[in-house]
Amino acid sequence: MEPQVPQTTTPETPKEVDVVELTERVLKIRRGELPPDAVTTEELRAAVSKQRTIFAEGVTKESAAKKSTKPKKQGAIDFSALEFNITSADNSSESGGLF
Amino acid sequence: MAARAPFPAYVDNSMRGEFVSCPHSFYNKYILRRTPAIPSIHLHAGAAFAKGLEVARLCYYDHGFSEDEAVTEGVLALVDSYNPYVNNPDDVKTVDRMAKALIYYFAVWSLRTDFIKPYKINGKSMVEVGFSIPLDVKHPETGEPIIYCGRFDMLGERDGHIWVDDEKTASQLGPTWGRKFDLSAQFSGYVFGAQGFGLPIAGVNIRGVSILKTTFGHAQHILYRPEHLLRRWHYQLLRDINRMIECWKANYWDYNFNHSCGMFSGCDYLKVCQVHPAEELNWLNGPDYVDNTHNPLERHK
Repeated sequence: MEPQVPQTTTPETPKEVDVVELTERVLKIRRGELPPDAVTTEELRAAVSKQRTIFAEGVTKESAAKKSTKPKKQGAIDFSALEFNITSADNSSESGGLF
Repeated sequence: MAARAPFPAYVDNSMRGEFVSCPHSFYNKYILRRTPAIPSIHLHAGAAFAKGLEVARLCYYDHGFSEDEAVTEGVLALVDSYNPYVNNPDDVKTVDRMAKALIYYFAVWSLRTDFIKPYKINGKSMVEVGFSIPLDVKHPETGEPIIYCGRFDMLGERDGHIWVDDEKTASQLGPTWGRKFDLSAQFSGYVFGAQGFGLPIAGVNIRGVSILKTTFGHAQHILYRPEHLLRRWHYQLLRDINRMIECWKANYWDYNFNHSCGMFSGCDYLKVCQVHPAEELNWLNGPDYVDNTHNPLERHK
């Protein structure tokens, strides 16, 4: 598959840039409002990686918090192994604190 | 007498859904082929998200990219698919939110550790799977079988079983989010289509990502489609297509005049149905509508 990102000939050390800003820059490149080298592959990849890590940590913490607050009855069957078969609880509230 | 607009050669779930909601709306959209000039942000953003998923999965599973490389390619594909849509100031599903939602998806269900992997045929991952199956209903003009077609996100494999996998973007996911799909014709159609490959389909795995102004959420729901449910859906589909044909032959398309007119932000054709009959076509051919290029047999760009 052909890479779909503007290529640079001189890779630089990736700067820490927010993924939102980079997405907007990519959009401006596509619309001809910025030159093709206004975003490098490395910059975008670093931002995506960082954002994914932040999200993953948030999801892990939230999942752990849910498990620790789940009431356990003596002698109850542990259904946690069947999580795949049930809809996970709504975690879309604005107070989810994923960031 | 003016030539009648042709009856479509194929039907997909969107078309059937439009018809059962309001035959007249179906007539405007799929017979006269006029659709709002400004597409729904939800459909547009959802299609861009699906494109991002597709590219990321192909990059990772078929082309040997690392996870970060694959997700980055997915983000770029999403941006390209979203462009050149111009957002309203109050849109939540903006391109940058959708890009973050895609990254969020792969943070929750990492490509590396996801328990569902793409099912492969001839070494190629079955992502963005299209199908078209001839039905036992004859086209009223050509006499050929009408084709039922559709496209879903992935044919997945888990523990040796094959699943239809489909992703949804939503504004809100509640505890009952998944239940609304329990009888959904969309997923019955996907299972029907997937069975057309000659594969035993265990069920449907639906994943939802909610996109709010400052947070994201996720949920997963499993559906089963036992044979009796599939038969019930299939029989209803044939009845509905026959009703479409009856409307076409009579050249009269019923109006709903009830809930369908006011669903969400109002039916796309609310204005058209309010004007004098002599004015309807003028409205449809005016600046608020464009040619409907919907073709479910084509891959989305």
